[in-house]
Order: sequence, then C-alpha cells, then structure tokens
Amino acid sequence: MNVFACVACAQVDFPRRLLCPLCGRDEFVEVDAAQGSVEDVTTLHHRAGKAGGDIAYIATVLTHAGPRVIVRLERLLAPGAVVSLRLESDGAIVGFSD
Amino acid sequence: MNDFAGVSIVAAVEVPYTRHAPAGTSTAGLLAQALKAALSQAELSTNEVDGLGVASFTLLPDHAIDFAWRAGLRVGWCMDDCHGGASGINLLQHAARAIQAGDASVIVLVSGDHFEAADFTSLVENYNVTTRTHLRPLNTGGPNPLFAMLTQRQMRASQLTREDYAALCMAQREWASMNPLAVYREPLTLETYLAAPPVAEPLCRFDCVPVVSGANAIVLTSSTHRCAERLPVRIRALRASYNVDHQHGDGLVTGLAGISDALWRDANLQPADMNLVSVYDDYPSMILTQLNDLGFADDQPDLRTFIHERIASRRLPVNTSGGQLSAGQAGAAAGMHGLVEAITQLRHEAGARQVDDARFAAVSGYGMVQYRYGMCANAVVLERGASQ
Repeated sequence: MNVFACVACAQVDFPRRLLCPLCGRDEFVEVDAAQGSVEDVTTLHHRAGKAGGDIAYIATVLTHAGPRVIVRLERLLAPGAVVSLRLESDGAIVGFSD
Repeated sequence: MNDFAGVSIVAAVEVPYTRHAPAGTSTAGLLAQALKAALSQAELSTNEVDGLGVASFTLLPDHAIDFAWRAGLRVGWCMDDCHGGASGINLLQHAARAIQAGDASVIVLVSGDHFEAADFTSLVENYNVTTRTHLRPLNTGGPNPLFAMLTQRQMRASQLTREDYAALCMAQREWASMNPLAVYREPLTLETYLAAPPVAEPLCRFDCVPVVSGANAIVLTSSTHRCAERLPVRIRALRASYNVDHQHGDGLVTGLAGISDALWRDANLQPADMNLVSVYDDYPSMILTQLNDLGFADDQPDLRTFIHERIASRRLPVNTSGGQLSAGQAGAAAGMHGLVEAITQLRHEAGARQVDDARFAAVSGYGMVQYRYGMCANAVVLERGASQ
C-alpha cells in the first residue's frame, strides 16, 4: 500500500494526482503507507439500489505517511485503533489488526 | 464585474418527481416537459429561445446540443454542466453572464434524470475515476458511508446527537406536507426517525435522499425583455468555490466559508435579511455545514441551539419545499431544486407553504463527491423584483 510524494515539495497525497496541488509539479515517488490509525468507522447496512448485501465496516484511516484513505476493515474496530493496510488486486484497501 | 444587473429570472418549474416513474419515462422526455412548462410559465415560444444549459447524469450519450435539436431549439449559447449538486447555480452564473455579454437574450436551463435501478448503481459506482478506482472495490454503494463518517465528525465537533439531525428532517417534512409535489408528505415523528432502518451508522433511511425521477427548469432573460415585466427575480450576488481544500480537510467546512464575506458584500445584505434559504440537503449534516459557512449560525451559541431555535422553529425557513430529503433527489435536478423553490417563493407562488412577504432568498449548491466529500460549493442571493 503506497501513497505518493511530490519530488519537488514533498507534499504527500492519495489518490495520486496529475499535478501536485501545492506546487504544480508532476513527478511523484511512492511512499510506503502500510499502517495507520482509524479516525472514523461506519457500519454499512444498506447499499442504495441493491437489496441485501453483507454488512461492511468502512473507515477513514490516517496513514502514518500522512494522507487519509478510505478502507474496508476486516472487523469492527474503534477510532484510534492502529491498523495495517493491504491493497487488494481489485483496488480495495483493506485494514486489519494483527 | 460582480453585479448581475440587467438579468432577470422569469420562470422556475418542477416536473413532478416520482419514486417509480411510469413505463416509457425517459430523461430527455422529462427535460422536454420541464422546458415546455418553463416556457409556458414565461409565455415564451421555443423559437424565442437562443440559449440552453443542461445538467443531467443520464441523458448520455446525448448532450445539451442533442437535446436542443430534439427539442427544436436553435441556439447561439449552449452549455453542458456536470457539477451535480452545484449545477443549478453554476448554470445560472454562466447564463447570467452570457445575457450580460449579449451572447443570448433568452436562456432556458434544464436539469433532470430518470433512473432505472441499474442506472443508479452504475452512476454511484462510476461517479468519477477516483470512485471507480478506489471506492467501488470497497462496495460502498455510493457516498452514504463517506457522509456517515462526516456526520460522525460533525457530531463530535459540535456535540450533536441523532435527535438533533431528526429535528432537521422533521422540520423539512413539515414543509413538505404543504408541498403537493413532494414525494413524502406524511408527518415524520422522532420515534419513527429513531426506529428507521440504519443505512450507514449513524445515518438512517431518513437521512438519505430518496432517489426519484424528475426535472426542473428556469428561464433567464435580459431585464428589458417583455417577460421580465411580470414577477422577475433578480440576482443580487453569486459566488462559487470549487476544490478549495484538495480533499485535505475534514469536510466540515465547504468552499462557502471562503466566499461568504464576498457574497454578502456583493449583495449588500446579511444573512439576517434573508426571508428563506435553500441549501443542498444531500444529508442533514450538510444542511448545517452550508448554513454555518454562510453565516446563518453566527449569532447562535452553538449548532444545536441553531437547529432547534431557528430551523425547527421555522424562524428561519430552510428548504421550504421539503428539500431533497422529503421531495426527492432527481439526479442532477437536485442542483436546481432549491433554486426553483426559492424563485417560486420570491414570486409568491408557493401556495400553502408560502413564506410571508418573501423578498430575499439565499440558495447554496454543494456536491460532486471526490474521495471523501464534495468538491463544489456555490451560493446565490436572489431578490424579488418589481413587476411593471
């Protein structure tokens, strides 16, 4: 799981931008963001336009690298919990607690 | 140039929203109904129209120019808008400037959508590249979880409870009970709200807009046009702020906070002068955020007091149509719904829900959710003009 740092001004963002929102440059390096802290978490019961569906735990995680990311938690965790982050092959970011 | 002199809004209509549209309903058909109704209200014919703006998610593969052809319009100014909840005011801004510049003299702005279940799912899963790439794989089913977390942040920051949000929803339902076009008009009690099925905690069914099919339209002309002689509405000020924080914030402050001072200065008015307000109500938390950013809560000790003493009490009439939460969200029409309601009120044509002696109204737009919350915010101050 990586986020993206501008080589010119070190601004770190996720998702990756086309141009840096701070300095306008377009060169980035990947920065490891394998861990973070849960800031908010919601239990998702119902999806618009879809009947049924599993309950999911969607969270905002402040990565230790800086940016906030939206993740699916493997299990319900409270705000403040430290989680590891894994990028799935379909693009989902999954948060889990060891 | 920050004044909008010489421009009048001469019609504002809503094609009735429906939860389950009849077979054969199409987005283009709804937009055509809105166009026809708006021209009828303004006593204009299609061959007098020389400008068209369109906002719609489901008109594709057609665009504004295709709709213009299908509707028999010959135009010299034509604009597609893709700003969702900010589209109505964005279109209004550009259309007013086109009239001031002489690029057009009669502009119709239409917005609307018709959703089949698959259309809506496709829209929310492919709203933009970020959504498709990073949120769709989480199976969020649209933005509800994002605004559930935003609401949690607001609850913590302002010491709010679900009962406070219920008061907002109940107040709008009370307004809706007087709006024959609202899809939900029956009274909403606190008990019903608290017992409603959860969607994404803390949001329940009543915190999430019901998806409907429908359309809205408004007509602008130069103030010297014959249409502007009867019940014109004028633009006192209009400001927009998009992508103000690059999604680096918490979503509890919109771009409105940064343009509020300029908006009121341009209008030479204050929040206290407004007879009513329409704010984009995709979620109750965003009602509070926009009103706070625009300064409507500045004289209140806290947001809870503001909710109960000003909004629930109806001392400040907010979303007098019932808002999207009760009237429904017809896709891109949601960005024009509050505008149409405010214009209707200023024309004193709102029937049982008419705000007495309405002269000034503020309307805000908000939307286009990027990764964590909306990118767009805009606002307009409107004034009832004098009939000649």
